[in-house]
Amino acid sequence: MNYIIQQIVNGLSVGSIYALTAIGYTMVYGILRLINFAHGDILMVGAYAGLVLGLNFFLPTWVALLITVIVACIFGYLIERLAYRPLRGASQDATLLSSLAISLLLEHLAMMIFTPQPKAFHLPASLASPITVNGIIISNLFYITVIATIVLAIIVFTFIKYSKAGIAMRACSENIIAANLMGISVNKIVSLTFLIGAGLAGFGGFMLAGQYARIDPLMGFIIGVKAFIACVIGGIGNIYGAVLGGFILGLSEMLIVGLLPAQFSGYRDAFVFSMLIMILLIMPNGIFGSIGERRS
Amino acid sequence: MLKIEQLQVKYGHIHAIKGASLEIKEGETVALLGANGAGKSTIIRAITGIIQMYHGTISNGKIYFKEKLLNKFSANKIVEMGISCVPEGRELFAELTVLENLRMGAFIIKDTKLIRKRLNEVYEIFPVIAERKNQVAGTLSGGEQQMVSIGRSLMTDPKLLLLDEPSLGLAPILVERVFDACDKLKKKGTTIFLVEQNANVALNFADRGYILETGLIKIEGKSENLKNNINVKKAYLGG
Repeated sequence: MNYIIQQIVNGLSVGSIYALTAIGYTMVYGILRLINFAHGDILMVGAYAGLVLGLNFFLPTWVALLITVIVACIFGYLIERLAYRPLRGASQDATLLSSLAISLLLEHLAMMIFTPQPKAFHLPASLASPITVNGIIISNLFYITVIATIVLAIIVFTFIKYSKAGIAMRACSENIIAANLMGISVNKIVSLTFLIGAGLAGFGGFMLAGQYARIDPLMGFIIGVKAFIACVIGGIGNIYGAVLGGFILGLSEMLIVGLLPAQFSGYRDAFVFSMLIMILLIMPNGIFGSIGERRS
Repeated sequence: MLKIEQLQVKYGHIHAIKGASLEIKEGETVALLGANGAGKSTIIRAITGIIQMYHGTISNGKIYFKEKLLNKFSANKIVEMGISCVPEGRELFAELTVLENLRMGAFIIKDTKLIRKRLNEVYEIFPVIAERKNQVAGTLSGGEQQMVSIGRSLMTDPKLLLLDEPSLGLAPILVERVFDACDKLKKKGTTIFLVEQNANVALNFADRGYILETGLIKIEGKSENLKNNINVKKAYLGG
């Protein structure tokens, strides 16, 4: 029993990271119909910034976290300005390739600057060191990650539901031509979307780095792919779906691996991708999905 | 108020508007008539600055609004200048509530008191949509959706209102109701540019009309003259 609870704890922990990353993924897709491959790499860039500019100078953890989030926001904003906005109106394939190029660029730049070897990412022991509660290994970072994810998700939901900019995001996501006709400055809304998404991904990157106590230039790639799967599970374009999908994916990943004999644990990602294929076959629109049409 | 000079619009190699000129004076209601595919909506898209979203470009000609050249302005600047559009097919935000749709119509307005005032004005013109303000717009009937679409465009209190095929897909009784509302706007002094396939309705409503055929303005004149014009009768008014 403890073993299963342990897997649930682990699942919630990675699920939070997937959920945080998936929000930005799905919001960008909703408005631009763009699968932003570089989104996961923003998480990596943020984590490196937190390490190099924050933790290495022995700054307080919250300052390092703030640096991470700010740098992630700056990258998210700049990527949209430099790599996607000039292609607005071009074919969907062009922006997709552009996002792939940015993703590779960031990964390889990180490898050149920081070497491909993982770097240690140590948070203070009060946060990161494991505590055993009733036989379950847990850390304060776990509580912080899960609670912060839920709080941030609620803030984003509220913002999207009630604020003027949030309603405008939904309006742009649904009908970008009508949004233009209303005088909505679509470019500003898109920038805001990238800022929010990148900030959340940066936050997730910091928590992930803290959990594993190390970072490497390719850490964003696999998280990005999994966040994308989380979006697909929840119904791409829907932020509630993204958060739910993130937790479903994290939990099922950990439970599947945990319940199978140990020699299968190396197949963790294979299970995840099999799950993606099954979901696409059974419910191609995901749990809350409705977006069917393509937008060029 | 609005002046279009020798406008040419291309979609790739397709020459949709081949040199159209027209003018709308302040306080006038002007109709643009033409068959399906004549290029009516293209002119609206060119005025509102969304033509590139349809992969079109203004290849030649000028559009002036109050002596200012509109060609290079972005869609949101054009709305800020006082042009509002009720697009063809309504183009509501179907998953947003009626109130949210109206709030989006007022996107460029910062003053919340003014927004509330405009909301009440719209509810006064269309009492039906006041009752349905918290309903998701996609669940309304066609006529109600058209009223929301018009209401949404009125939130900015536009100087020039562009109405693109407001009768499209509506039962005759609803067409009447929509035009009754437009009449109120006309009496209020709003300048209206109406694009219609339904020539009868349009000429009864507008002061003047232009007839567009395959990208060119073929005939223009006062509504009553157009109604009596043999060619117009044959082609657009059913004999």
